[in-house]
Amino acid sequence: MSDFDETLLTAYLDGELPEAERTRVEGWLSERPERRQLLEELRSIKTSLQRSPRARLPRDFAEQVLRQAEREMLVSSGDAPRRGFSLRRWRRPAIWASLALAAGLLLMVFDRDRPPPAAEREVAVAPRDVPQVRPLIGVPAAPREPQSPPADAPPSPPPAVYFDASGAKANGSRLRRAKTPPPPAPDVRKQKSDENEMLDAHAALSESTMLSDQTLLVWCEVSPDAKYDERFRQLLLSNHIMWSEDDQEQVKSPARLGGEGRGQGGFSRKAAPATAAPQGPATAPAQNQRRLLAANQAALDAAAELVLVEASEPQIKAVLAELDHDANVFKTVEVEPADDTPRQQQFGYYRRGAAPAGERTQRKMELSAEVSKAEKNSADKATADRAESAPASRAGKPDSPPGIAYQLRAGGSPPMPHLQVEGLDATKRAVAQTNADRLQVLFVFQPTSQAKPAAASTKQPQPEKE
Amino acid sequence: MAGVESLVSAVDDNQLIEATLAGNSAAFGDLVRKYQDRLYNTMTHLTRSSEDARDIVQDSFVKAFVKLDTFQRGSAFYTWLYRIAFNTAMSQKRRRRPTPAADAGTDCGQEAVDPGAGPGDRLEREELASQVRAALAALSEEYRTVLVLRDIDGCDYEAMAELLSVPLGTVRSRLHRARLQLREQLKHLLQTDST
Repeated sequence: MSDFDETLLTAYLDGELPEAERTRVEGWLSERPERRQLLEELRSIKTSLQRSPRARLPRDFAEQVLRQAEREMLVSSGDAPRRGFSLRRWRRPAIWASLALAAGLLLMVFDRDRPPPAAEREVAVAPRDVPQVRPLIGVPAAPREPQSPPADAPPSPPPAVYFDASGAKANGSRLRRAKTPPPPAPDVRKQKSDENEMLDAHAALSESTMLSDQTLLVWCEVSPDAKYDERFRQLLLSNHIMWSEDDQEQVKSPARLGGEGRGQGGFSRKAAPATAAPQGPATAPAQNQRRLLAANQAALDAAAELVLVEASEPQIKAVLAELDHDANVFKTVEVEPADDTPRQQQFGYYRRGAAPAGERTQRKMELSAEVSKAEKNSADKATADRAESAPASRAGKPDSPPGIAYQLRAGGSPPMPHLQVEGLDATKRAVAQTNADRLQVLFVFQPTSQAKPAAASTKQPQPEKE
Repeated sequence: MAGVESLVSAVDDNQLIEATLAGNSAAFGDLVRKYQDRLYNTMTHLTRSSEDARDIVQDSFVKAFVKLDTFQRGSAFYTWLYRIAFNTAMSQKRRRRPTPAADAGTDCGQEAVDPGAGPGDRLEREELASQVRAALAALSEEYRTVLVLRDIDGCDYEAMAELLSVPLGTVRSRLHRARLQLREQLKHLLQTDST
């Protein structure tokens, strides 16, 4: 049997031989004991290898991969056009993520008296965040006067700590973005419950109005065919504004947030209407409720996209300026600051191609009516009164002439000092200072063919008179 | 944990790929979780460095994500992924000198313990496994690769042939020679074992 192919022995050992050849190998093995000895030795080696310890990667490895992949996609998207790549991959329910973020911040506010664990504080001021800080030399800084909330208002959330949708704290500027889910199919049977859920959603969003002191709304109408998504991401990157994608499974829709959001920062159905109760508006002025309700409406528009970022004032200015310059993609730009936040008023002059003042006022009134209805249904008359009285003061504000882009004005305070990174403490101080200067900005992108929330609100019933 | 893994395994790779391409990058996260340890384990043995292996695996998944729309469904996703990883490892090897074999398996997970084995048996087995790993690391890359794919990664011959782009007969002969070399290196152990 000298013509026997010994490699068959390996295949026999691995069970990779057909029946006929297996029989042949067994015949060859039976002829001599040393052949059987060889087989046993090979089997022993194989068994040892099979029992080798298995290397394992950490549980969060997939998240690390996805983050790196996102960076890679973003960097390479500025190069030659990608074959077959769809930007839709990056769209996810941003408003839900931002609501989750709001829920997280809500929890932080409730827990503000409890000092965070040392590890969390370390995360908030981690030195690795420093490279993301845009050098501020020579950039006129906006006035950094401290916020002056009402005496009974809770303090603002710690600015240096951010939540992502999964509840994990993270540092640095973050962006949550997504394509909003389509609105539910009309169903008469569920109409009532849907309405209730909507009210819950509104109330839940109202809950987040404690963010309104720091949330700047930027409305952008975009060309339906324009790749504003990619353009905007590049714009953020060029301004050193980092972002992260959220795990879609962690994201709740606003209609469910009130009822199922308990896992995300303790949001509960009971907690949501509480903000609309008399004790709520003291921390969430009606104007800010209205602003965020408008954003909530936009979130229900399947074509709209909402992006929440946190960035310093110079970064926001730079982004707004670039949005303004790119009129082909971003047809209109309108910044809506919180009415009672002086720090944000500097952005209020920024408007291009937005609706005329009269129409805008009408829109606010209609929104107010919707606020009123929501609050009425939640049996909170006091809040409704405040919400309805708000547009008057808002309408009295001078509006920029439509069609004219205003260059943002620099604040009067001296430029920020250069970040002296001389060690860990200095780094922490620098990062903490920079974080304190950050604002939350909610960008709402709507294709021009889509009606803005205000326009959509015209379909809503007229406000009910009390 | 096993339940979660089996659940993930039950999901068809193609469904996850489609979901990823449709915009759900979380689906790609599931693919990563499904194959990360398998690929990492293989790359650890191939590169003989857990650190390099981790970098290679991460880079490979990122490349796979970026080029996912070019993936031809004719082959299995892991086969495609492995090729990316293999090429990445080769590129990395060309860029730098190979690292010593000492790191091989140093950060590996716990060995599956046979509940029926006593402490003495286990010690002997661990000693044997340690020497086998050292002998494996000393093999040529060609032989090491087939042994890792077959005995550690559990690939069948057909998959190995596809991964390595060689005929099935080449897989068999290469594997046989690799085992003979390993046997030669471990002769003293095997003889002790048999006596």
